[in-house]
Amino acid sequence: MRERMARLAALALGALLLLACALFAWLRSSGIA
Amino acid sequence: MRSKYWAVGTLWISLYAALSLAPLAFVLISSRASQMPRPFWTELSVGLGFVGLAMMGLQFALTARFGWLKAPFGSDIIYAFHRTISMVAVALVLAHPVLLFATRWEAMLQRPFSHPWPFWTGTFSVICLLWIIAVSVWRTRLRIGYDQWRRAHAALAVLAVAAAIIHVLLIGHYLAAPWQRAFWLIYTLAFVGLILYVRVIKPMIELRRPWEIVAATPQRGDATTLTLRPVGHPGFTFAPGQFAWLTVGDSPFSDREHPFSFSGSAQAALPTAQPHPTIEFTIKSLGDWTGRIQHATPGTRVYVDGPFGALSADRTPDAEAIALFAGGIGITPMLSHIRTFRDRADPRPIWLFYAARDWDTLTLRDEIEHLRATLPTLRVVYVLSSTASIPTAQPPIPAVQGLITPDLIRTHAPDLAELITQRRRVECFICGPNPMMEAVEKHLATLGVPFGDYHCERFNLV
Repeated sequence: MRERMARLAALALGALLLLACALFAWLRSSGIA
Repeated sequence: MRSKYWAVGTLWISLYAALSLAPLAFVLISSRASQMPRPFWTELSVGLGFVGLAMMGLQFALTARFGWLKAPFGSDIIYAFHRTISMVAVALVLAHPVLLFATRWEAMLQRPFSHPWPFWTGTFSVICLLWIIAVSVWRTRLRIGYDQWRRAHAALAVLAVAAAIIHVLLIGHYLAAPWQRAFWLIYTLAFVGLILYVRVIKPMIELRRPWEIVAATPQRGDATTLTLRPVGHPGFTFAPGQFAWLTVGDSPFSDREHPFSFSGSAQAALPTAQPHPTIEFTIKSLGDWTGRIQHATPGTRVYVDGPFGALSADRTPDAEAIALFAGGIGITPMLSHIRTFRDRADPRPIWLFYAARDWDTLTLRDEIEHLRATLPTLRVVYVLSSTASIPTAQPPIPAVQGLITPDLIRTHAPDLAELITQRRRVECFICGPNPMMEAVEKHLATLGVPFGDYHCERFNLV
C-alpha cells in the first residue's frame, strides 16, 4: 500500500512537472516572460 | 512524532519539485531581454529536457542513502519513488527530441548533422537511460547478477547525466546570462559532489570504521547469524527493525554490499554494552553472495553502512502494544524488536505471527522458543504450510496450518483482536515475501487497524 502511494506520488509529481513545463513554454512562446 | 515525519516528508517532496523546476525558473528570470521567443512546442521540448535532466541528477541524491532523507519514508519507499520518478524523468527526456523532431523534421532531415556533437551527446544520454531501464526492469530475465547490475546502473547513470550536461553546454541556448551559466555550474558541481560522496568519501569513512566477525552461527532454514564487533571505534546505535548494508571480506570501494536487517537487540549495540558492543544479522542463503556467508570465519573484516529503515516500533513510542508479522527470513527485524523489548524491560505486549514452511526449517526457532518461555509479554503464533513435524508438548506449541487471515488472528490472538476493536493503539509491523505482506496489510485493514498503524518494508530493491 505504501509502495503504491509512493508510485502514485511520483506520477502525480510527474504530471505537475509536465504542467509546469507547458506553462513555461506558453510564457516563453507568447513573449510574456 | 508521526506528524513530524509527515511534515518533513512533505518538505522533501516540495524541495524535489522546486529543484526539478529550478532550471525553468532561472530561464524565466534571466531570459526576457536576451532571448527571442520561439514556438510553443520548441519551448516545451526545451523545458522538458531541462526538467528531465534536473530530475535525473536528483536521482543521485535519492539513492545516496542519506539517513535524514530516508527517515520520514523508509528506504523501500525512497526506492519505489526513485523507480517511478526515474521513468517519469526518462519520459520527459525522451519527449524532448521527439517534440523537436515533430516540429522541425523537414529541416532536420535536410541537414541531419548540422549540429553533430550536441546531437550525438544527447543521443548517447538517451541510449544510456533506456539501457538503465532495460537492465533494471528485466534484470532477472536477462540473468544479470545483483552486483553486476549495481555497477552497470551506477556507471550508466553517471554517463547519462554527464552526456546530457555536455549536450546542454554545447547547444548553449539559455546559457547566455551569467545566472544561467552559474545555475548549471552549481547543478553540475552538486551532481559531481554527490557521486564523490557515494563512491569515495563514504567508503573512506567506512574504511576507518571497520567491524569484524566474532561468530558465524549456522541457523535452521539455510541461514547464518553473523555477530560483529566494532574495531577501533565505538560502533553505532540503531533502532530495532532497521537494516544496514554489509560488505563482507571486501573493500568498501568494491561496491559489493547487500542490505540486511539487524536481528540482534538494539541494546547490545550501545557503547556501554559488555564486554563490547555487538550487532547481529541473520542471513539466508539465497544466491552466490549470501551462499558464501555460510563459510565466513571469525576475524573477517566487515564494513557496515547504516542504520537505515523506518520499520521500527521506536518511531511510534506511544503504541500500547505491537503486533509483528514475519514471513520466512522476514523474522529478523521482528526478532530484533523482541530482543530489544526484553533488554529494555519494556512492559508492552508483543504478538508475533511467524509464517513459514514447516517446523524443521523455521529460522531462529530455538531463540524464539526460548523467548516465548521466558518473556511473559510475548505471544507467538506459528503459521506453517505443514504442521506435520511439530512435536507434542505440554502446553502445546502454538502452531497452526494455513495462512495469516483475520479469522486466524481473531481465533489465536483474541486479546489482540479485542485491542484493535477497541481502537487502542496497536502498531503492526510486517516483513516477508511481497504477496504475504500485501495480504497481511489487507487483513489488518479488514480487522480495523488504521492505515497509519501498519508498517512494512520491502527489500527486493530491483
